[in-house]
Amino acid sequence: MRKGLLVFAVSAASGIARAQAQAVITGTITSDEGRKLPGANVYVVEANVSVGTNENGQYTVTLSPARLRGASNVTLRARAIGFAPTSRSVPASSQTVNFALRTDVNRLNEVVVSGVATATSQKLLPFTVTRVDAEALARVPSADPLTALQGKVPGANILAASGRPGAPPAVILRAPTSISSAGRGIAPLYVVDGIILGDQLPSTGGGGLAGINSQDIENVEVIKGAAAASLYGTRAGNGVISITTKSGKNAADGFKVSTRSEYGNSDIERQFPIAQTHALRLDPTGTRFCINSGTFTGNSCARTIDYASEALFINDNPATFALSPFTFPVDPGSGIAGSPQLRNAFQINKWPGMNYNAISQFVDPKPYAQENLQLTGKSGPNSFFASGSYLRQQGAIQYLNGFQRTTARLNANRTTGKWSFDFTTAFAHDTKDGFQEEDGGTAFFRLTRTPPIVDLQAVDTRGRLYIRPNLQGGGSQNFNPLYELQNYNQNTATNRFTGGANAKWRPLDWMSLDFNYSYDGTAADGLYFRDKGYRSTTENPATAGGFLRRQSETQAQYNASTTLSLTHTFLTDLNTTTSFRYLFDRTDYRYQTLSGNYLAVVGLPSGSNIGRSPDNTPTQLVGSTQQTIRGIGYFLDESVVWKDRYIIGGLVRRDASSLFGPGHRWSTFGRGSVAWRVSQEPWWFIHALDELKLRASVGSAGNRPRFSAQYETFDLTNGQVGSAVTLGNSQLRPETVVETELGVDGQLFHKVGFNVTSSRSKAKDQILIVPVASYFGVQSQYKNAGELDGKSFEASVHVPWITRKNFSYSTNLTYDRAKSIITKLDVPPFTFGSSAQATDKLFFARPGEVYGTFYGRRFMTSCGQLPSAVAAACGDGKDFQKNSEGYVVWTGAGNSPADGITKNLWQARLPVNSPFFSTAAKGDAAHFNPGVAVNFGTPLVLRDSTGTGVIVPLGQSLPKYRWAFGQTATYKRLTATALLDAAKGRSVYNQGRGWALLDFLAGEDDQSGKDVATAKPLGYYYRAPEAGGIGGFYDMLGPNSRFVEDASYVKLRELSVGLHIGAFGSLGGDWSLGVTGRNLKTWTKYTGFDPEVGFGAVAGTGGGGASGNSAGSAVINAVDAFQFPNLRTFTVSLATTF
Amino acid sequence: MRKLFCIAVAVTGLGACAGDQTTAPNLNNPDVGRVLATPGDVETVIANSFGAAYFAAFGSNVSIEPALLTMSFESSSGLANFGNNQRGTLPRSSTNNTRGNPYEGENANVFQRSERAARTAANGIAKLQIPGFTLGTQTADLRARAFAYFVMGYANANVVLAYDSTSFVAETDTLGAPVKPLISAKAAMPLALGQLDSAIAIANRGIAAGGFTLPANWISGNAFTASQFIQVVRSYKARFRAGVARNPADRAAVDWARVIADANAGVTSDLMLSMDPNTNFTVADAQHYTFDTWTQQSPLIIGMADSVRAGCSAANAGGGDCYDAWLATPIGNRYSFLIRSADQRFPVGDTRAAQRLASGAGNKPVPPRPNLYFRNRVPSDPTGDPWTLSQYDFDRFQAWVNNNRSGPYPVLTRAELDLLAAEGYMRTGDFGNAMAKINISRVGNGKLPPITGITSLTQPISTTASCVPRVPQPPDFAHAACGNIFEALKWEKRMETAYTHFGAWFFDSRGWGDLAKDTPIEFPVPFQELDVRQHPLYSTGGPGGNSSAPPGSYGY
Repeated sequence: MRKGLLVFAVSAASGIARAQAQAVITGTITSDEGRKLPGANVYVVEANVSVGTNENGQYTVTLSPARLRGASNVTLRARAIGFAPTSRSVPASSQTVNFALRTDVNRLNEVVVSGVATATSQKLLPFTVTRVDAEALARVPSADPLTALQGKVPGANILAASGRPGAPPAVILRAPTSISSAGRGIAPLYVVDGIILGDQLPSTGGGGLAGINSQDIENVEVIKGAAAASLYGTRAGNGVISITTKSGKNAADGFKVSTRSEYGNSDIERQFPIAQTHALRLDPTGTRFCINSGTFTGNSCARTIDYASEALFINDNPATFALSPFTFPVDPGSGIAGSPQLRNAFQINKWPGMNYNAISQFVDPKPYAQENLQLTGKSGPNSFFASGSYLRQQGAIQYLNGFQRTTARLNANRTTGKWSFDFTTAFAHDTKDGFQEEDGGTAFFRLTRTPPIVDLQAVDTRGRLYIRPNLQGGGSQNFNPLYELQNYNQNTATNRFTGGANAKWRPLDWMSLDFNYSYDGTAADGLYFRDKGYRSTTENPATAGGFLRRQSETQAQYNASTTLSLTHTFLTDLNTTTSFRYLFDRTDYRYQTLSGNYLAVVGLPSGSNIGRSPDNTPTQLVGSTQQTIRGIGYFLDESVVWKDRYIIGGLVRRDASSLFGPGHRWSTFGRGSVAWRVSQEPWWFIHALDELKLRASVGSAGNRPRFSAQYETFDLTNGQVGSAVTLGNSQLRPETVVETELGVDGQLFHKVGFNVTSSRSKAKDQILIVPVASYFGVQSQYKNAGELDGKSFEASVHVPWITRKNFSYSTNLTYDRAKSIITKLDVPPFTFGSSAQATDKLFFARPGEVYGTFYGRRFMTSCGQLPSAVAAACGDGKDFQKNSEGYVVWTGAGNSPADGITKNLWQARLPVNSPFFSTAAKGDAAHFNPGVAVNFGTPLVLRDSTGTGVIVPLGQSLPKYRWAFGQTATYKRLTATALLDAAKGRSVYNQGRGWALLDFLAGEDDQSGKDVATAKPLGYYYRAPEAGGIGGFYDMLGPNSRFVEDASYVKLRELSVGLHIGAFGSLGGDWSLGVTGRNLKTWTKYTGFDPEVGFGAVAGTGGGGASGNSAGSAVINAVDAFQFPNLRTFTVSLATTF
Repeated sequence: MRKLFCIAVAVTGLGACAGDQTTAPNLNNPDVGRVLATPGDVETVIANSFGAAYFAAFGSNVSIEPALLTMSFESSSGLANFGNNQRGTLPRSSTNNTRGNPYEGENANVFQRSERAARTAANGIAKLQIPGFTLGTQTADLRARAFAYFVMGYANANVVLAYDSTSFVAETDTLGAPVKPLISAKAAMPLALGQLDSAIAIANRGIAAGGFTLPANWISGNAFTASQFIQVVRSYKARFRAGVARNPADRAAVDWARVIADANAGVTSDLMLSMDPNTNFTVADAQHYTFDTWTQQSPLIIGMADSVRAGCSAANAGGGDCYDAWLATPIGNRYSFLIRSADQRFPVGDTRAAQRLASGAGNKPVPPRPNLYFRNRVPSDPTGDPWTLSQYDFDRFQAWVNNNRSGPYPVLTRAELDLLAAEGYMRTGDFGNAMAKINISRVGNGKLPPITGITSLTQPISTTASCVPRVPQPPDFAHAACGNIFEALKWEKRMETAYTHFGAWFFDSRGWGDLAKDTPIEFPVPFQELDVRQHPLYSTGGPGGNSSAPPGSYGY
């Protein structure tokens, strides 16, 4: 054993292939249309030897007499990804044996290792495990493995909610299973080479899969529901994504070096619509702006300024702040002197002088580069795969450096006789910046507050960027976003090491033992540094004193397991596999933070630099968190296959977790599954349908609470005990997701492969944060108190339309839809949402509620929405009519919404003697405005009888359905792929657009080019001052029907063209050249930067405050709150193998 | 077989290692056992509970305090934040107590946070009542118990002031099902006052036992003796007893003799808390008067100071710059105007520029004299309805604001107590003492002529044109006239208490009948609490609503 290891180590390190004599079998493996297949594999059963093919599809296997052990014949099994395997028995002598493999259209011969106790081929699998191979991932290598899966896995809703380089996407597999995910997230469980990864680090955005080089991946297996995920117990209620990285096991003997270099550029595809006009008052020359002066500030034009000169003047202040600018009449930010002006001014004036595009000034296309080096070696029983990579994704934002990552990996394997060993180690170091700009980040917010006259890149006489380029009111929101990006360093650095060892011992043909130990350690450091002298729009000593925060997070995840597997064949064709596994896991998490301001000296991001406020109070704040989660479990799995067509499986798993109180730590999960390969029946008569498998599976898995849920907790900050937060609940149980999955896998004419799966899930014992009576003195308690039922449907069709030697063309079509409904709630209904301002009440939790339904106020769009008696007065020529945008408005009988200017009606209000007017009592059928005034022509909020705007459903954050269409065409040496990815019926609350109305900067404020009949005054878009905001769309901070938009989209997600060059003259090698595009084009009606957006963009961070329920995924929190838009990237790549 | 044996040992060993792996303590947040583990901890918890109770009512904007500001004309604002605009707009609307309403946090926080603070104090009392448990000395025990009762009474009373019912925290509560019922505000205030009486009684026992001194951090920045502590408690008793009234009839029925007694036995100078933005001792109101775009002073109230050009209404309606003209202008067309007042708490000057100069240099000047409470703002008037527009910001505490909102800030002024006593004297027919109390600040701070010779409420305080306050007159409220002693008292109380404490103007205004029509005179129990108790949801205020104010004294 020790000697074997030594041999392994030496040979793996040297990579020197050893030649052996005796029987030498060689050959070529091709596809059935004659294409040579590199990377295919030949396995000699009697000798337990496996070799791979080289770039020309050739293999060589050398069999020593000791290996042959006297066998006169040997069985060769040939297989390649995407092809049906075949085997042949030949004499045990030197010879040439060629194979032609038939395309495995539906990949039923692929072997999966996730969700099952022992490796199992797809055709014998009674539930769904979707596998994506390296081939599909390598066409357009992604910086993040998860985004590489977009459009490739039906049922996997992977939303790149943020374009910030290094930001992980949000993932929900099938239908959501948790109503509230505060403090725990609803991401799937991630497994890499059997290593269960730790959760996302909440404070630095580290963790996740950002440390995995996607070019190291051999395949990804996605387990989308509890029916298949039950093997993983209490952590798998949201599904599992399991990654297997490359190894040398299936390589040809020898040593291979592959390199790939990719260079390109990233930018942003779309623009945020900013109004190009203004409503400020100008002097008669049209070049100078009137400013407030004297008593009657609203109407004076006695003094004027030149905008650019005034901007230079106020910004050129040598101190750490800008001077206060003059204010303008009808200045959106500083205030409107009464509503009459709002309803009498139209935004039609082009800004004088030079105009700028703030977004173009903000966006700065930057390089994208990937360098990858891979080494693969195999020598007899020893093999290895090693890689190193460097990724530089600088993004497309001025002054931000984006994401840089270096990775290294070494996977080593040895197979000898009854033992096999797998070792995997990986290290990743990455840095990323702009982390705090995520999710409502201030720079993106301020970008939407920048009119075209503002030059963000202007510098004062001291060479400093203007601190307040926008002279209008609004104070700090007119802060130059570029100044922040230039001078506020927000950087995180993450180191991640994963390592795993697996030993497999097969002492008997029917018995094997697996031992596994793995570790995933992540350490992240965050630095947030505003240096001393940081400027602000108005004098602010604390800001000018600088600010520093340092935080560090570490997480260590340990897993170990022992598995006993027994296989036996009864009679002649009843195969059974029995597995027993015992496992434990442990997660240690540590977090420390230090922050403060009033720095002593410039340029030192050291904690020692934090100083004291002017009143000599220390400003240092420190804090720390630590937690350990422990679990143990075991399971028994039984699989029975009879005649290769009747498949029955059963699993029972018992889990214990420290997250629950004594007496409630153990939970039981399980699975029962059956499948029937009907087409294998002797009586099968539909020969065109050459494969048909029916399958059904019922399984359960769990979701865990946050660490502190079982404990009574008090606030503890800076050495001060605060109030009690939660009462603690030691009776808590895991959320248990029970899923029933039914499906069909089939193949038609050996050409069309299809999979159809329908699932229903019931997530019981929802873990919710429930308030308690106030006199208890605590805010809330965690309780199991509800059920969430999910339903999903997914289908995929793969058609290799043309498979000729020189030309092939294939398509993949996927479709899915998912929906969850709250069927039971044992506590009173409540609202929840995300933690952005005014988005914490987006959703309702109550029985019958479709999960993800947006709520907000609605503007009337039909006469029927008016109280019944008022509705009779609605219609052409009547008191209430529809305006040019489809809203019901009050006009007064005989007027029309188009008469606002021509009849000077915009300032009219519903008169007190109107039969519809009401102030004295609650509303009734004849009064639609109890307690609220009504302006001419302005949209009417749907209200209840008390005058309160009612909260109604406005949209759905989960799409009605999604589809993706992938195409691959190969002509001789040329390969082209394209992937279209679509989501239909998804709504997004465009908060950025709504809030821009506050400063008259939304695109819709622009009235230039409109005629008198359709032009709307400022007050139509702005908020009117009446109670509850009749008229004006920015009438409250939260969502309303104007800004909850249809965000359906179709994206050209991937496009690549590759040329296989082959050997390059005397240089040799196997070269290929490629051109790649990512996120190239979006077709959508959504008006924001990108319809693929959501709040809580950093996956798994809970997305909400610790004290309340919240939806923790950007997939659910479909709020566009000043996030990074997704990047569009073009690159050119060059790859070779030696 | 040897290998098999080794494997079996390994598996067993693994199991043994993992066998007790399912216990992991919480090392981040303490439970109540840790919080009250030692005598020192108990004392600390009790000491800090006042900060929590203070913060609950007056330390955070995410509360009903911003709504109380705009509902009582202490401030006006066009901003939606915290319900500033929604609650302050005319006509008044209901409080909206539905699930998911935009201000559900604001509506609930005073209720919930106050009761949490009270429970913290109650936990301390419960610990102190354990036989044999002591903080070390009898006076230390008495000090802590007295303070805990004070905090309970203070926190419970603030809830009772604002909400129609309370969950009410008592040290005798048994926590658990069934949940104890809600108590009406009317029934709960005597209980809260009883807790304050307990604090006084225990403090007196402390004095008898040798006396004690509160550490300075217990009532931030005030190392009170037991006697001074009793003065503080009695001051709050006076405030709460008078402030609980929901309408003029309730106010008239207040036991004014006890108010007078408590007020006269209250603090002898302003109770100043040492504020620090990083602690519970912050001032939510500072946000409102600090930022130009957040707030402005309501002309309806401060216009009563406009005394120099009185009587200009008829000639200048619709555009003239004086209070009478403003009153004569339809409400939808009102505008900001210059206030020229004999009251020195306003800047002097006949033009805006002159008043700007008199307000001090810069945008947010430190008042150039201690008795300047208002400044004429930089002409960047914030959004608002025409009737809320004004040229004036509150400036009295600007120096404190400029000091990063750190340092002493008055939360209970001696003037408030004098004016509570004055109201008691006035309501009991003792106009002499009432005038004396009113004149303390009227003359001392406003530099107005003293009120003299008043014997009834029908008399105006002055016959001169420069009278302050000049009050809108029924039936049409289109002009102003010199007010009576009650209006003079109200004027002084508003001037001297503006932005000093929770509901400073609101609780008085509802008892005086000054709130605008349909203003909710109290808030409903937050729906979160109603939900816990499975009670139906309801709201208050608005046309025809529960607890809606009748038309106010000033015509709104």
